Amino acid sequence: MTGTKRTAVTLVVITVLLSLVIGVVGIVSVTGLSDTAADLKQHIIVQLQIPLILTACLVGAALSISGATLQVVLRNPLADPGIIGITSGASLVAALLLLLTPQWATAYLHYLLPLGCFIGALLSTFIIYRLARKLLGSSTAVILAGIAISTLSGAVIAWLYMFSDANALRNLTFWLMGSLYQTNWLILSVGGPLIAAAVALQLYFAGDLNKLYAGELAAKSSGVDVEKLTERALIVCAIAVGTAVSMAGSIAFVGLLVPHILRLIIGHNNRYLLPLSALSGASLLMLVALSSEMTRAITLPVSMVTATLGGPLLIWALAKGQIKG
Amino acid sequence: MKLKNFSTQQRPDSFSNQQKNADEEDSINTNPKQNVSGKDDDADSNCPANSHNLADNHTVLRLQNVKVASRLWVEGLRAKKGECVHIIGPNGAGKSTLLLTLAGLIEADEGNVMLLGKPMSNWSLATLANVRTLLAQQSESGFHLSVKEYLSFYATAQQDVLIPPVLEKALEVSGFLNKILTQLSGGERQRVEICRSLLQIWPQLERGEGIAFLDEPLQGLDIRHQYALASLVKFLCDKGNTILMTSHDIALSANYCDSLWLMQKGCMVAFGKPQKVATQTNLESVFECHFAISKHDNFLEIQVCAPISLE
Repeated sequence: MTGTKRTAVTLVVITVLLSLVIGVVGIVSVTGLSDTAADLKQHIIVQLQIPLILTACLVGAALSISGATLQVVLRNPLADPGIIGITSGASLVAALLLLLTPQWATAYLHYLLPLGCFIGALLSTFIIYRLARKLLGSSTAVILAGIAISTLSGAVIAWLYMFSDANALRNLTFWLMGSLYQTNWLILSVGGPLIAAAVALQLYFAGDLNKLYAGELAAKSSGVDVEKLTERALIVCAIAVGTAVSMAGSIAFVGLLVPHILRLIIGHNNRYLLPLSALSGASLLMLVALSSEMTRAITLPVSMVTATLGGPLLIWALAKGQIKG
Repeated sequence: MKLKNFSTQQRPDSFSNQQKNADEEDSINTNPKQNVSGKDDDADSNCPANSHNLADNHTVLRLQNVKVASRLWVEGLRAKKGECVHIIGPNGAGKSTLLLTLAGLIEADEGNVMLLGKPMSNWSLATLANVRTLLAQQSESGFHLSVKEYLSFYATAQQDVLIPPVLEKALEVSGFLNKILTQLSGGERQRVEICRSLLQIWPQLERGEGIAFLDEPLQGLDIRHQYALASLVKFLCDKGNTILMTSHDIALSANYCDSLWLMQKGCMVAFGKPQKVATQTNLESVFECHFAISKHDNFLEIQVCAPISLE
């Protein structure tokens, strides 16, 4: 059993590393094709494409590992940063900023947006957690409160839609479906360390998360302070997801899909599952970014690609009876 | 005072001579570390020289005037090292609350709970985890992990889960190690849960230093596994471990425990040797059923007849 598990782990690691290599090679070949001035080429690589790839990796890692952590912490396989409402706060702030920022401030929007989204994500997590604790004090309550908050912010966004002009609408739609093209080195230099720290902290929780599988009392009996763990994990996930959302908009499905598929392959041990989720998420989004770069046509909204790929995959897994409740 | 009734078990163990000392209330609370506890401390003056060992070896658990929010009210109770305690009582009598309080997972509103001579508030969850284990009643897991993986997260002995032969003999879980947890039947699942909770402190249980709280471990088990479990619990206690379990099977419990605790509406109605506790008057007043009890040499035959209220 451990033998097969080890093989599975190696397999996943190899796949992930291979896709990362392909990614790097791909990006070089894409940019290598054009034969204009060397300066311009270098500028494109350094200023646009490397940040793009890095953003994709960071965002993918943050969303996947947070999905995996949330599913265990909330003891609900459905939990996903999007479904439980962390992203909805960010989306609401993004919508407000995009649609209501006065003309003179649009120059700063590029930096205002990530900051606002980050605050929005943290704020909505805080509200959800408080609400859940006050109402029921259970992990299901967190999900219910999350759905309530995201429905509400969805409604507010819909109202804002009615009162905005076409250009702002286009921006918003694009943002709501995720886009990797809004980053630059400055945003990366802030977001990178934040995501790295949040990922590292989640890895640190892995051992305790394993004990949650038997329920709250059993975890407590084996020495895990469940309330503290839940609180910390939620905060760390909110930071990871908030950062990811502010860098690339809301990207659907990655946090739900990657951990579930991985559990089919390597099992439920979070000591393996969390790091591999981060790696696979990173390589998945990088491939998405790359494919969109390869086509060179329009810049595809990321959610469109992840949902197109992920939807059928999830349905297949469900139909095979591998993923249940 | 109720404590006087508390039974002194005749055990072959080396410390049985000293148990009389241990039974005197004053000599228990003598661990030097625990002077912190405000309420009960008249002990230090007259403790014998080996008081430290006494406290460690004899009274594992001690309750004094413990009150938990209208669910539990216990004046004074203790469990000795190696004691096998079965707790019986109607639904809602406070059995689970008592176990959770003793396991340090519910904080008592009033009174003292002492574990190994140390007040519960001085124990951290992490250190408790190496000393005692708890089998809670409902444990849910929506995740489809294999039994083997599940057990490996709780076993202290890392790596491959090897079910200790003693556990395997009673629980017979190795047959479904590769099955998915959620696909087991209720009874099978319960056996896995018992196994999980015991594996948590297995090294301690093997050395005879463990403490286990099992909340209705018999629930869902077939008759053979019920008796196998009761024997396992007895066996572990004979090795020096202290185990408290709740049960609804009075006939089984009365014959497999060292002491029987009878609870009703949050109070301890009677406790001590099963012959003294499982009397017709006690059982009929608590359970509101007719009982037929006959004593044999080594065996207490208890039969339940119709509920009194139905007549």
